[in-house]
Amino acid sequence: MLRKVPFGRLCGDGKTAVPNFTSATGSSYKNNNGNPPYNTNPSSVVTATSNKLYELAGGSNTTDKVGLGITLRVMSGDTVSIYGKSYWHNTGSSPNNSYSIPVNDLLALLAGTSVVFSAGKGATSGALQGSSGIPTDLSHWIADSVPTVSGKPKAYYNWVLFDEQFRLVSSSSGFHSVGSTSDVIDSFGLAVNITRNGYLYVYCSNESNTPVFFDNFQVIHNHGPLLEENHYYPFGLTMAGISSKAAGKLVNREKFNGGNELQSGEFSDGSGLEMYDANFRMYDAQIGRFHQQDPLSDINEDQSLYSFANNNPVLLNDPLGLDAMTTEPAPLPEVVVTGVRPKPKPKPTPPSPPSVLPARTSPLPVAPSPPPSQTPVPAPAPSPTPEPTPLPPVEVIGTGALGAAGLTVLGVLLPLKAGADFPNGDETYYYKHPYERPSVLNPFVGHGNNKENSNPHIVYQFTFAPKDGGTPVLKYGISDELRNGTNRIQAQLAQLTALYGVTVKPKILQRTLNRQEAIEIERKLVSQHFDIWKRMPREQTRPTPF
Amino acid sequence: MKTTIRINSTIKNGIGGMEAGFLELIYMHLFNEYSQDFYSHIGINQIDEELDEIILQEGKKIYINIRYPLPENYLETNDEEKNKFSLLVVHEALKRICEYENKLNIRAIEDIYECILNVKFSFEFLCKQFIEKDSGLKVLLVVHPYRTEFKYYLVFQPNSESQHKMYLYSGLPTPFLEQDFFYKPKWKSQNELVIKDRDNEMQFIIDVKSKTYKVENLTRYSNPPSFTKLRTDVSEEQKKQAQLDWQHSLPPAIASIIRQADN
Repeated sequence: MLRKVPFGRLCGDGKTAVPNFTSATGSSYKNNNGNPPYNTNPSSVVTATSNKLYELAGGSNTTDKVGLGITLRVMSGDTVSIYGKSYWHNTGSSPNNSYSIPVNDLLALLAGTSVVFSAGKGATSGALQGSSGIPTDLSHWIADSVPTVSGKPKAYYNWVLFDEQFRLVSSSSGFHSVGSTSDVIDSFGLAVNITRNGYLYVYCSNESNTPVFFDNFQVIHNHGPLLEENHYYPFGLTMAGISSKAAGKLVNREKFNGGNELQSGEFSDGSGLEMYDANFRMYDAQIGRFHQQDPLSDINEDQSLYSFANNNPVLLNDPLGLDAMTTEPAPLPEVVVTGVRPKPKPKPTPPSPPSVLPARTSPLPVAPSPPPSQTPVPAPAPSPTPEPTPLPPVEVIGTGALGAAGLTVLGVLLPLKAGADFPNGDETYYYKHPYERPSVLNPFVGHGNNKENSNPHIVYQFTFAPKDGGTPVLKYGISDELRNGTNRIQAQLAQLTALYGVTVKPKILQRTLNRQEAIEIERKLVSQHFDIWKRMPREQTRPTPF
Repeated sequence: MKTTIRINSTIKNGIGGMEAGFLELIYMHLFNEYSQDFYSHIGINQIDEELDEIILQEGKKIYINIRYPLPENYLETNDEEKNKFSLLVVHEALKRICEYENKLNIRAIEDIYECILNVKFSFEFLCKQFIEKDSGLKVLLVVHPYRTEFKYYLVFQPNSESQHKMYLYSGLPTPFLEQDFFYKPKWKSQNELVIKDRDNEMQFIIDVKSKTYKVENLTRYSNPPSFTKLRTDVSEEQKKQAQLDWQHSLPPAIASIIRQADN
């Protein structure tokens, strides 16, 4: 059993104080964490003092071999700093280091800690021992911890990291031997970088028959950025076996489906609905279905009213329970070469005058006059040599789906390339904006408020639960369904919920073939509302009702 | 008008409701006069304890939730006291918007508040003016807002001085009437001004010389439906009939949507 002994018993035999202790260390032993200055962790309590220190007597008493143990729930990226001081006294004979620690003892200590019990679903030493691999790993690891200097006790600070499956992580495990010299305080400080989520067990051990004292033993857990690691099945069910969470942190319930709140563990017996609150509906990740019908089922007539994200949860999600939305940039249409613009013919350039005129001869030479019967044939004009217009540098633009930036650039005409690849070397090929090519759907791409907007529209309304006896209608609205989907509704929903509370609900009233029809219906709805309530809906600004 | 103002309330007998149109119109005109036109829309919502006081901005539109409980015996007070209370809430909300972003001039807001109290909520605002080019005659459409109705007048100004004021129309207190019922003016002659509505239901024919007017019904119904159902100077039976006529005038598909019919 680990004993707490008075400071005056820093002597080894447990009876008398060591008279030359001060001279052996070179200075008075100050029993606090600030001396010597190894412990520089800002979280350390450097002013703590104590008149006690801990003794591991070792020897044949098996309960005196391991102590000061603590198990920490750690996450990858955490750092655990271990500090301590150790001391032992040479009683005249070399320490007998043959009192090894049975692995079973270690496992019993490890499995008996509360953290392992709570997180490991009741692991026992027997169960751990029975598990293949673990005892062997531990045995190997412990077998390595042999003192490098003979004549000192085989006593250590130890730290062992087990991952979620209780496999030893040797890269984050290790040990540090006590000092080699008798009667000298040995200070130790180390930062252990945690490389795997799991459990770190830190403890002190003594496998000799020489009592070893430990003092100011501190374990400081610095949490890294990783607080939680979740793995999901495609439809959002958590893979509990490989997901993990840092200890001592608030429960994160906003997880899958764009951060929906998981209704879990809310009942007094620890059970819960285990469903995601997707605002408008409850989503059950265990069956991959909503429990309520889709309020916007009119839009997705070909989908089940209860399906989640069009049954395509890898590409889509549905945070509101209204309409599946993509989390990835939409692939852009393929870019095609739609036309050929002939390269302009080069203008003939007049021959440039010679830079140096020939010397004038006087009189000027007179051409011999042709005979009257012959028509003078004019000399052929010197044909101008067309200089090829320098072509722009070749830009390698592949066909196929381009990124979002590519579409923006393609709004203007871009020269593709010219030269030997084309039948006529004097032609330049251009890309055209992909929207300009004839399409079966032929969507209207002008300004959304244009009267000629021929895209299908939706007419919707927002209502809430009023307490003033007034109108429940907040507003009517229209939206270009082809262009916006339900994004406009969802954007306004956020705003109106902020103003009028959580009872705000949207409803699609009608789909129309074009904008004009939608406006007309909206106007009549506002007018009808005015007749009933003598006032326009609460947040309606247009259209005017009459 | 550049700034529209909506006054709502989520508490019973709050400052929202039909009567709020009265204060909305006053503020919309005064904001225009005082050049407080930074916002295109200001929404003021009087709330109870359950909602949060927030200021929410969306581009040039700004919305404010303001918690302002009703005073005791509020229902027993007269209209003037109710108007003053509504004014106080709106004024407080506008001051908070000033503090929030400093885009409204707090001095102007205070001046508007004082102005409304000084004239005891009695205003006449110019809506539109129709000028006959040959004679130079100006015909002004002015509105006098009351708590439960808006009264529209025509003022004839041959020489920049008001000469005659003629009552034209009384309608429900909503600031949007003038945009629809006095939509399209046209001088038929120097003595005749015709003002059509937006939906071609009716037209005012104004005889400038005799200072009289008549309403010409352009529909096949006994009265122009929209025009009649918003009037406050006709009987309830006439309004009810106008409502039926209006529904009858709608295309069947739209009518079924309005009635939320099954087909």
